[in-house]
Amino acid sequence: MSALFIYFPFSKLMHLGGVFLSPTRNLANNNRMVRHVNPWNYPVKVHTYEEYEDEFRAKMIKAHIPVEKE
Amino acid sequence: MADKLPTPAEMKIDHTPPKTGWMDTPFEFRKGTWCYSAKPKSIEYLGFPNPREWSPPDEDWKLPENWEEIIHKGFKERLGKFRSFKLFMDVCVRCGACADKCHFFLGSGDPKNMPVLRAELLRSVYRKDFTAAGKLLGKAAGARKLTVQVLKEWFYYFYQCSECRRCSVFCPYGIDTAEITMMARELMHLVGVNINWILDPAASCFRTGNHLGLEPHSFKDSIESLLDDVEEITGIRVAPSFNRKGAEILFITPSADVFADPGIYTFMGYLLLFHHIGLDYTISTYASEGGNFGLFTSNEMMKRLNAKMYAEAKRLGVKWILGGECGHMWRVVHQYMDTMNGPADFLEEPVSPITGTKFENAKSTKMVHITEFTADLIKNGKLKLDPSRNDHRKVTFHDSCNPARAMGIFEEPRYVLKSVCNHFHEMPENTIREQTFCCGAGSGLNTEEFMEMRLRGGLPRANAVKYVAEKHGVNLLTCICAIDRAVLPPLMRYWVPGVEVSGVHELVGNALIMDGEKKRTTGLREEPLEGVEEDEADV
Repeated sequence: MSALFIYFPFSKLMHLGGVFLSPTRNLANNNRMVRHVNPWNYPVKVHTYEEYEDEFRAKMIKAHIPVEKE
Repeated sequence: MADKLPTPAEMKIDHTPPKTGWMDTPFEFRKGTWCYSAKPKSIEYLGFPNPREWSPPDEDWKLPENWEEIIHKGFKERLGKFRSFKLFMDVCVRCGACADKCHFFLGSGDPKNMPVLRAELLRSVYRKDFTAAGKLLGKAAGARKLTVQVLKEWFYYFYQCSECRRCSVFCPYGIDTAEITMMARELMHLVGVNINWILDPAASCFRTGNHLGLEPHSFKDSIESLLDDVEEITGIRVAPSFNRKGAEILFITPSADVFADPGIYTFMGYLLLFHHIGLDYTISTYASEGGNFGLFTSNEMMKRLNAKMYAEAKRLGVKWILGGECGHMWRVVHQYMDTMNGPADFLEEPVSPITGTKFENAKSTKMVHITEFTADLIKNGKLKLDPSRNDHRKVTFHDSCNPARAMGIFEEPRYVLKSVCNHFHEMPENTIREQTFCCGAGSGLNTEEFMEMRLRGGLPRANAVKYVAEKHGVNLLTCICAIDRAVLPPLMRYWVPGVEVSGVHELVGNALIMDGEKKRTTGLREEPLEGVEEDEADV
């Protein structure tokens, strides 16, 4: 018995609260309605429209797709 | 590859667990159960580490010398950044509720495909490196050292998870195995361990805007070739615009809808719908892909690809964005886009120009799902529909994992379907809505060399379709996902021959009564309609 009492506080039984408190269970599904801010959201390297148009401009003009720079 | 596939009768599934413990049970790279490695060209283009020629069955994976250290650092960094990851590593009590929920386990019988054990592959290394008990007690505490063999096991099993999240529905803690798989894949990317079917589309998408790498003129050509088909079938010439500034709405859909059968018929449905209601919209060649294979790569790659949507909406000066039928695109848009690339303060809160309905559910992200948009049109009586044109179809609906479990879109597609066809039958309750079964090839696994595993993973879904096919004579499986439209047809041909696959808007396109149309004798895929005499059809 005593051994069990010593063991319980370190055991997976202590995870019981997680059944009721799990974030994936309790967060509202409102991601498109409300903006959730990510504290470490850092800038990343993107392929910009300018780079895209520079590569394909001639083909776009030929296909009558509007471009920024003729 | 296909000729070596076992027949459905030969596809043995044995759920007897092996006699040895999981850490001591080896696996082998058996043909049909793993995907080809990424080509150096794609890795280099995206600026990822360790581009080289290698193959998963090779003994030597040509890893960087300090690869263990790289993964350890990456692991540590992610545990700090993603609180959910830390929680999921710690909280699992191995109750086993998820074990028989995974379609890959059901179809393969391999215990390491139980979500709990798949996560344990990563968790064991977490224990060894980051917990006191694991460091002290080693194997007795479920910990093990990261070795090349462990890394190979990660590769094998984390590319046998389609990130569908069915297991997480049944987990008492809501552990999201998809997030665990994402983290494992991110860690493997750090040392250059990745698959071609994901990195090649991601690289193409980065450069040209879409997965197949269609350059702007080819993308436009592909859509214009569909216009001829639409005209032939309906007598209506629709005229979409491309990269047009000042349009009210930017329409983005998975590029597969533009060129791949049967997605093209869904695309024709969109075109007819927009023409029918006179929508002021434009299609972009730069943001010409809804799908985002970055989601299957890393959070950073997902953000890099997704950035094009808002950038293009801003450049074109549209009011809001309408998104087509796609699965993982909507997981990204719904759950991550605003956080990663927002705020979209240059756009307006979406309002349907036809019905005046405000889409308050999308007021921050400013992107509306096409089934929300169409369901609203039907609800307000703005569409002229003849559901009897789909009488040759006995329809069921496959909830695609991401719109179902990541978004909660259950009712809209069903409402649309029931309005445009007369014969609709649901599959059994435990295989639809939030409990839906995956197509077996999501998260970038829809490649040919993986076919055996795809068919095994798709078996539970196919079984449910077989049930309604036998009970109600269902002959059409509808879905709102481009990957589904690509992978369900071979799955159906294999397990349930006679059932075709379509998007929801193909049926909408069939049912729409267009002003000035000619008598419809065929559906959008030129299949004859019921009740139309053959001689009439020949006219």
